[in-house]
Amino acid sequence: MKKHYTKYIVIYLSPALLIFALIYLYPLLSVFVTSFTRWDGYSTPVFIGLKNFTKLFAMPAFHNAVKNTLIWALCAIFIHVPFGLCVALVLSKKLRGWRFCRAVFLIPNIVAPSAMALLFVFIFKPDEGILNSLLRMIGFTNAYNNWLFNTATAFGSVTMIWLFYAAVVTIIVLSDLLSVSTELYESARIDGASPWQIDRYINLPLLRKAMGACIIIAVAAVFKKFDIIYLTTNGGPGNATMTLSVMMVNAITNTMSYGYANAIAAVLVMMGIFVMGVCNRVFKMGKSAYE
Amino acid sequence: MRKYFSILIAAVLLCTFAGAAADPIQVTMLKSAGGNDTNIELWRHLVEEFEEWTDGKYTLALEEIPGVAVDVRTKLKMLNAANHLPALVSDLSAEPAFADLLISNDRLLDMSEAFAADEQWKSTAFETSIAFNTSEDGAMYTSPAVYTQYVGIFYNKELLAQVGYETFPETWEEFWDLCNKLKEAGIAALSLHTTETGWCPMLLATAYAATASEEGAAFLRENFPSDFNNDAMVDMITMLRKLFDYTTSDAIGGTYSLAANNFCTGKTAMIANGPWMIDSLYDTQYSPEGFAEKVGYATFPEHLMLCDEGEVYGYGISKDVSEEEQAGAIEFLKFLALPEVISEFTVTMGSMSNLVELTQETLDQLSPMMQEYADAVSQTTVTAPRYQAKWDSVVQTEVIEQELPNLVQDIITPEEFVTKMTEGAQRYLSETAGQ
Repeated sequence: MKKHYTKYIVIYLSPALLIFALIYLYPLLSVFVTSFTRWDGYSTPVFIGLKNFTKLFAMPAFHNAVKNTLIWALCAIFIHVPFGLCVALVLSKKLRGWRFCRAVFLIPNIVAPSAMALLFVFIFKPDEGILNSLLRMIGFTNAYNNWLFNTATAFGSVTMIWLFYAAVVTIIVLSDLLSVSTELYESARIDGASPWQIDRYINLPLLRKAMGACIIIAVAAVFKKFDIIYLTTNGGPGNATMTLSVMMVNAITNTMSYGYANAIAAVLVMMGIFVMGVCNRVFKMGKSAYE
Repeated sequence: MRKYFSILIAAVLLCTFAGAAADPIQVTMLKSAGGNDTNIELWRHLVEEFEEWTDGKYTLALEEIPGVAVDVRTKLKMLNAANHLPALVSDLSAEPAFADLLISNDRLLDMSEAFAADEQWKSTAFETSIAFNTSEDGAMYTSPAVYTQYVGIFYNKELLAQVGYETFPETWEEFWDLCNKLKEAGIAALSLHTTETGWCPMLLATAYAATASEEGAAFLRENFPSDFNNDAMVDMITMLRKLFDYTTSDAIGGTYSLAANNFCTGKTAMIANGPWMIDSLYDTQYSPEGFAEKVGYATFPEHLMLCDEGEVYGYGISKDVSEEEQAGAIEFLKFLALPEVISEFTVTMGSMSNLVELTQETLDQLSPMMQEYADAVSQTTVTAPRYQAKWDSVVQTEVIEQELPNLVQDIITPEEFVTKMTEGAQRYLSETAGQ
């Protein structure tokens, strides 16, 4: 019987595994292998050992980029996802107009990131930008800060472009919340639980795996974020908003150093695997909601 | 019935294939569109003229890239990585490192035979450019220049007149005096920006460096300098910092389009740029009606203009395309070398050639602004090359673009900026060594 099933498992999984190998596995292996080479994207890669990595680790821009990427990952974990969760908890109460609010909250997430970036370039402009204009209206007459190009505010400003647009988190959490059995809520209410206690002792534990998934999605999105930085500050001023993805593109377009760019990519992948592993363990993704 | 229907289908298919076979061969090329330059109109016109010139055998398939020239170069690099370069590889003059890479990796066609066989093409190509674009073994992978453009400075005559300047300053002392007077009158003197290699401010800064000292003039002629730590460069960067005391508050982080728009809407009094901007001063899509009459064109102080004098890479022909398309690309380069086409470039973009005599008809077509530009060229006594053709891409994009906001906000000193330029240049050389 098992042998019979094995044959069909292999047959039905093979196409997916083949596509996975071609589209994901092969390029990933290429990245890792060529990260140890000097390669201009054309001629045969020349093995140079760890030189790309030693050069990378010695660069101040790299340290800044790693720091910025990790700060963004922490912002995703402790601000972006919890904010989406809070919105989901509010929406789950199904107050009047909750569907409208859900739709409006989703709008920024369906706007192309490049369009969002250009919009925020305008919002953050020193003279005519909306932010400074609003600040001047409420009494801050000296509000002419160049938010994106002042070293002190550049990183925070770029972060604001994505931080609170957590509709994906909200949708995932809300769909989980709406599938929770109402009997649990009824029992809790009968026992005298307040809405906060219901959220704290029933909803949050049941949302553990959804939260874990949201954090993994949010951190992955942060690691690969490129367009909003490229279209706003391009990693500047100085290296204030530099990230590994921007460094990678600079390496390719400015020096055609594909080997070096792949070394950056390899570091990015390893960082991502580490963070995902930690999330998996913390949120016990392999266990059921009740363990 | 079925038989007649089948015959009809076959006839339609035959006509379709016959029609397709008669279509001109498309010669692909990228061109920037937008960014306050109206040059794309000239190129659209050239598409029709080229097809007519080749009797419908070839047509130029222009892919218009929204943005400025640096956006075209970025796309070319991406296409190169995908082995999908267009037939004509343009903008190599501002990316000599990219050109070197393409040549060393045998990505471009050797056009020396086609060039040698065409007397017309040879007659309008600059000798210095032929020598520059010919390798040691006699191959020619990029086309020699058939015209050049001089870069000076546009100025708003009305705004200058308000502070007592009827003509553009002839010395740098007068230039700073003008800037101070404009500032006192509440007028932003200069259109500047920090992105896109800091094009406008860097033109002013390098023009200054070329006239401030012999060391500066000599340094600017050096190809891919690896060490910017010298007095001339520190002096130039100090001057670059000072320029931003006389500009708009949105210059930091601003693009070239923003700088051009500030000038065209009368917010600023001066912008350093080349003659290709002249058309946009007459185009009401970019400038108010009649704005061009208020604008003058001048050399930089000390009668200097920036010019490459043909010693830059021209167009390359990619080996990624079919042989027919390569042949079409060669025909297009011959077309560009025709005196009448060069004259069109003169009228629209201020492209100059001492090998082509301009007819009276062409001279009559020159707009008043273009005549001012021609006058400015005739008054030029000193030239210097443009920095884009001489410096590597790391210095231009990663250092100048990223560190210029810090320099302007006094977070780093000119000495530190120059040190970063040196580090960038050396990183470029180390990363491209062996390529």
